[in-house]
Amino acid sequence: MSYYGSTDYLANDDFVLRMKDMRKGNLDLGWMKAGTEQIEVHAASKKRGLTYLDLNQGSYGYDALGEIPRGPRGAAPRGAAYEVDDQADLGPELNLKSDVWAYKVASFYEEAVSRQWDATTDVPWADLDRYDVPDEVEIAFAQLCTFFTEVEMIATDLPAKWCWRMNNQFHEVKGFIASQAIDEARHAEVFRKRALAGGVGLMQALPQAEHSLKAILDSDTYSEASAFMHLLAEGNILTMFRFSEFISPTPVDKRMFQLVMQDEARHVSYGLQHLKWILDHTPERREQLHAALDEAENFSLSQFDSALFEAMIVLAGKGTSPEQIKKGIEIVGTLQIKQVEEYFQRLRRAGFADRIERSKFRDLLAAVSLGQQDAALPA
Amino acid sequence: MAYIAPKDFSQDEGLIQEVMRVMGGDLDLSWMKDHPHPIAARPRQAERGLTLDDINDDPFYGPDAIPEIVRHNFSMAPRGAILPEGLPSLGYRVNRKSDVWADSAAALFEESKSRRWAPARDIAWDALDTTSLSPDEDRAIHQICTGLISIHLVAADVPSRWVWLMNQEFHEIKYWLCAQMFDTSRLAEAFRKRALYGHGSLGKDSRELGELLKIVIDSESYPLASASMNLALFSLVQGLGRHYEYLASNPADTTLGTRLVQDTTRSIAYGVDHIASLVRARPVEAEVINEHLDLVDNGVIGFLGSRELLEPLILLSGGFEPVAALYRRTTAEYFERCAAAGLGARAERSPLPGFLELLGDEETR
Repeated sequence: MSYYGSTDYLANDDFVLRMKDMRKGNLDLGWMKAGTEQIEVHAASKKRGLTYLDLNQGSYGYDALGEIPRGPRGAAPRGAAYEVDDQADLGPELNLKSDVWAYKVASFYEEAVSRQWDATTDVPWADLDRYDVPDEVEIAFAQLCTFFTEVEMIATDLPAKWCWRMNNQFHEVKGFIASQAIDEARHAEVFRKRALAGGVGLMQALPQAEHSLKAILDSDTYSEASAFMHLLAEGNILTMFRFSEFISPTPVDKRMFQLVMQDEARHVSYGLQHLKWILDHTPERREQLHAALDEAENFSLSQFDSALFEAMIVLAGKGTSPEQIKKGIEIVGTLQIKQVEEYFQRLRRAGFADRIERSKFRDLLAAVSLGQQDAALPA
Repeated sequence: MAYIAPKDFSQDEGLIQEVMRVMGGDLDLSWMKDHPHPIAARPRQAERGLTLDDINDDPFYGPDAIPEIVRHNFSMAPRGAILPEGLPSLGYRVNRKSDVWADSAAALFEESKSRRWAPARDIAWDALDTTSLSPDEDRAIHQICTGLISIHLVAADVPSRWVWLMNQEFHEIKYWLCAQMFDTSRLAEAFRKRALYGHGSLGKDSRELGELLKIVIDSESYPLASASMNLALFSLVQGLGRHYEYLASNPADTTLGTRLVQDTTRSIAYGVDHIASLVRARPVEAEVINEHLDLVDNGVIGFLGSRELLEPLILLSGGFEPVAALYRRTTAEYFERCAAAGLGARAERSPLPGFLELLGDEETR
């Protein structure tokens, strides 16, 4: 059953009397004596405008927010006056700052708001008619766009699954997650539009990739899900976006990848900074995150859908002749090594370098002899 | 871990052989022959760009392909893609088209993107430096802003609570809910900045508003949540937005009021269309929603009569009667929307008219 409140107002004498009193002009004005802090706020930079960073003061700021914000469980914004016993309890489940917080999250949110774009008008769709793309390259590109359309919505659904469970004291994180939701919806939209504008249409969904998506969505905690999705999965996708810009068949496609890359980089940065925050503030959770990434990496390894990799090879080599395939394999092999290197680099930056020695990616790279550079990777 | 892979893939010979086959140059390429629904969509109006309507080519890619009850796809495969064997279920619980659908959702999503704004830069914050509000008026605005922040924090949580449970076949609706999450978060941001700018402060949390927001977010189904928020709550918010703009004495507050109304109106439009579509498809749902709204309306009464809303509005509006008029107007618009959504004459069953009687009739006062 739904919740329907604790008071039937029209049957409540106090409420009815209050309304009659107020009609007569008898106001209580107790809210004027809320006792909240007064601060002085102006934009530190006219060019940047008034940001959440400018509001980071006193009881309103995020720096003053402790690891355990005891008391607030309702809709009161941080810094407002509220009664602990009188608030409507919204039942938040993520109440520790380290459950959700990331260094620089207010900046990430502000950047997201200022860099919104529109897949409908910011990609010059009509220009596609100016370029003659070979059929086999367009087919491969349609497969790649089908894959991106398929996977992008996980980065909406997963944060959304947790956002409403977060205490409203963490509004910068919740705002960032809302921005990620619209970013990823726009990504799914732009790749769908590209697949349907190119003459080929959508192609195969990829079962192995979907098992990874399911594992992300079903993660036990938000932080485990974030490490899997923001850091590992979106990190891999970010590297793929760079690769895809490089091998794009037309300037229209390059523009598309430039737009999605800036968003994806922000999401990966949030994941990195969230992981770093956890490790800095709750180091006892290190082993829990190791275990989560053990399985996350395992799922990532399983994600070798041959249709996707063959499509990338065709795109990178610009065709299916033996020479083109040979060239494509060289480029895709480099991409794979790059994905692992960049993942390891992010782990180091998050203070999680001990993860590298334990990573399943080292074994596979060595096994398939793709990773000449792997031996040089520091543990 | 809730979902465990069936094997340790780093030790899986089959996978390693497959990788070595492809990376060794022995490509299969059979997937290249399988693209059964070719399409080259282009913008119908060049200046408008390539919209979702432009690519919604039926019967394979458009919404007409979605059955009322989705039974064929519980994965993230996009609508119209080839669905091979072995796609897992991602556990979606909202799989009935009429539970979510509104034909206007695609256009509302497009509108939301095209009307994007950034509170950091698109509000003339320094106009507040020279405004001539009295200290009491300042406090009253801060109190109104405090309520609007709370409303929009929870209004972002409502779509968040449901979007991840919706089948991917309904991607236009999912896109729209993401836009709604973002729109509402941005409004929470904007009114927080308004309250704290200059010599700023927040006001007092309203118990009655908290109760109303809990009623909305705890609605037990998505249609009930949509009706509660998009019809009932946002009709009130839209009215407050218009009033805020009307009372504005500076460009910053004028823009804030305008943006609040603009973004909220999109949600109302979706709500009317969604509930109307649902009631057309399943008329029996009208009574379920009406019963729910009877109780939501009680929560609305609590907020309308709360000291934390009514008193600052009286102070800013110059008396009780302008606020009563605002409440009457807003309630009438809400009832009109409910009627347009197929819910009939809600004035005949809602407790809101009883509340308006408490405010007094304009002619008899």
